[in-house]
Amino acid sequence: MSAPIVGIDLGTTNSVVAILRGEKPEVIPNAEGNKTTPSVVLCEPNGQTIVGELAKRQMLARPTETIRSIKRLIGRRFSEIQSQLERFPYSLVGNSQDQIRVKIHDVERSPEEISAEVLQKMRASAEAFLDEDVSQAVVTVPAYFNDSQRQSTKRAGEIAGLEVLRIINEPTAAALAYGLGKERTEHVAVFDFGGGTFDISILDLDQDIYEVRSTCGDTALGGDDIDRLLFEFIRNEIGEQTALDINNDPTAVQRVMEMAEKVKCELSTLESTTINLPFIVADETGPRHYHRTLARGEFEKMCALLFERLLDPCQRALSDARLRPDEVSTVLLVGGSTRIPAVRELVRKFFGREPSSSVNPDEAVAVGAAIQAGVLTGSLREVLLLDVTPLSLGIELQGGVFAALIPRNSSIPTAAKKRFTTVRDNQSTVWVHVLQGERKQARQNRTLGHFCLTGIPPTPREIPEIEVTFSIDANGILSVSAMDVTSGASKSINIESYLQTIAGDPDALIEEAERKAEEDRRFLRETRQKMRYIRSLEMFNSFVNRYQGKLDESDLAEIKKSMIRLDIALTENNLATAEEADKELNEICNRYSELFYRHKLGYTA
Amino acid sequence: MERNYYQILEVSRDASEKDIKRAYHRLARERHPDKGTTPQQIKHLQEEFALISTAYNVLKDKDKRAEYDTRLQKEETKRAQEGGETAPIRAPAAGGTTAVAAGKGAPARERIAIAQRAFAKGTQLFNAGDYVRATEFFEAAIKNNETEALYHVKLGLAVMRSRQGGFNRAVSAIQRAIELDPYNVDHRLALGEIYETVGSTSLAIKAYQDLLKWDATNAKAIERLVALGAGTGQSFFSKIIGRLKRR
Repeated sequence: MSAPIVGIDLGTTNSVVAILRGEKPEVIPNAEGNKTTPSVVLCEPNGQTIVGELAKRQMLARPTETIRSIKRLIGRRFSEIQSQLERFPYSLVGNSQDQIRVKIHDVERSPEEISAEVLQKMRASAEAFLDEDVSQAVVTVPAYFNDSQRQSTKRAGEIAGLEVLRIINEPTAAALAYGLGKERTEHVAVFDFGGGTFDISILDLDQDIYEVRSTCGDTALGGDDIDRLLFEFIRNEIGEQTALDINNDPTAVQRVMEMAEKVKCELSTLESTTINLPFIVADETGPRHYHRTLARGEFEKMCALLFERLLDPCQRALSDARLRPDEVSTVLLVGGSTRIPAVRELVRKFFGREPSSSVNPDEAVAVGAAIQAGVLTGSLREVLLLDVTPLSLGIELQGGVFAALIPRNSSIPTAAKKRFTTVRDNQSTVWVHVLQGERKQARQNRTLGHFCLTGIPPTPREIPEIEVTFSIDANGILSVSAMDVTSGASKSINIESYLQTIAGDPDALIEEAERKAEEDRRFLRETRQKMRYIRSLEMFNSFVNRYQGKLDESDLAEIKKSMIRLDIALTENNLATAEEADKELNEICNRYSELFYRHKLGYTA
Repeated sequence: MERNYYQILEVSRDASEKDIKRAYHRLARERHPDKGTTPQQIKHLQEEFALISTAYNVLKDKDKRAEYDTRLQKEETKRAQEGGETAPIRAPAAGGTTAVAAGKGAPARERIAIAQRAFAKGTQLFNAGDYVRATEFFEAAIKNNETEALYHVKLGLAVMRSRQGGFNRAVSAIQRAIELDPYNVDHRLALGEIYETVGSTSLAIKAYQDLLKWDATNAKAIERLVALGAGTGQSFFSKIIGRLKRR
């Protein structure tokens, strides 16, 4: 039997690992006997790490050393997360390349390294369960993850010693889990509302083929945000009752956070629950307690605006799929946050039907990843996943316009080619700026990378043809290449390496651009000068021809000599000598002031 | 010859949406990269299937398919016409030699290179303001490669800017460019510009209105039409222009 490939759902709050045994997927329990493992990493002062259940239990006692929700940071830039900084109890710093680093006990770790810890734990669970080495995996990501987030997830796998054979989208994975063995033909919507992200995907099931028609979502909307709302609510009430801010006490923050999550979960089954936080704060009068009951209705009112944000992506996904809500015959609910009754109600209203409860919302994604692993090993020959790219991909044109080469919701793997040209004469370098997003203005989309195509032979502008090729592989990961069609010069990048390779380069680019602009100006100036001397030479030529008889012998010889000098200077492109010769000619001819003046006037007029 | 999207998906031109989807699924079952076993095979399938997906991404979308159909039809008509014209070009040309027509007997590829050099030189002169000599070089470029729309446009503009008359020659050069490359609206803008230069407002308006048939939101053309006080033409466009004027 071939080496096992596991499927891993690397979640914001929890992770799950599964494997296909024969044709049956199986979820693998961890060492503690649970099928889900908290995506929490505790960093000890000695540099060691603890992952999962044990780490989560330490969150309360050691909030600044316990890392949670790292998925919210993976593949992002430090400048992008400024507004969310206070949500993370641990310390985050940005390095010179705008990459995020988690700093604990003076050790800086990248989000990829932290995610790798979680993946390592899942790998260990699988190895213990299977009693075999595991070195290959299919890992899931939110469908609406951009290219950098996918690349970083893949790299996290590598750090964990796992070859990530395929990145698949979470809602698509859930559809696989639903469809396996059903052989049905229908339109399915997957509503995936997890701990940190929200995705909606519309699929066509055609026997064993799973074709994604469209996908949409919000990578920063999840159960975490609901917890946050409840946290703020409790914090404000404590503030009103005691005039004390719990934000000054990391342990209190952690206690309220945990209570918020607990209250959220309880209100999914209970109509009301009690919040009891004894000794939550203390002032000179002694310890203070917080106690109240919260009804489901109050909770739903609190979250109404947040839930409303779920509707717009649903609308867009349906219209991109060119379907009406009632044409969707099955709606799958995936992700822990779909346990909230108000969310189920919202889905029921939007699609006009009861959502299906045939998949386990916590396990379906990992099960789907295990099924895809089975496709790659060849044990599930018939099943085939045809996914789409969630965001448009393109480049920046002159004037800052974004030109999409591959529009969103294109079936992948795919490729697109487009020809572009230069904007300046003798432009030897073309700067290719690769972006992802839906905005018309390039700078409002996300930069995935940039590179320079150099070595374009000097030609007037608009002559060279630069062919830019985008290709997306089955993982949804992009590679870009550019080629000068006439000279054959070419360059390609795998977008992932961009931050490493481009570092320090932008200055050189600007310098090069400035140098080129100066070159262009000089070229123009010299051409104008040269044209002037050419006309001047013609004028002297006709002057001599016309007034030969009236000119002094010696003057005539001098004129002819200088004319030859000017002619040679022009062919040699020696503008300094040309200027001298032109001056000489003018001086000699000025001796015949009236004749010359009239001729010159007649010639130039 | 390159295969069109229908040929890539192995469906007929009048295939229904369902047929197209079925064809895509059938090809996916055979040629999706996941069906490969060796790295080379997977790489090969990846390339092949990327092409299939590209075709599918256009044909699965009603609007994109309609747009593609129009383009395909134009290309075929053009190719048919060119096929008919090749004979006279091959026949020995009578007279009409100029200094730069050196490429006459040269093989096709060399002639294209000569044309490119002539055009480059012409463009240099054009940019330096020497329109008279630029005209000569553009003519030489066209002699060696008649099917390059850009050469004709530049010739037209050079003739016009050299201010030595030749209005008709400029117009026919640009019309030829439009014929060769009907999708590039810039050629139509150039035509309008020429009509405007000689004060032929009505023809300029017509040129800009024609342009709008190809690119209904072209800002430059609309701007010129508004400037020329045109509101006539097709009712649809006049509505757009009217709306812009009101703003």
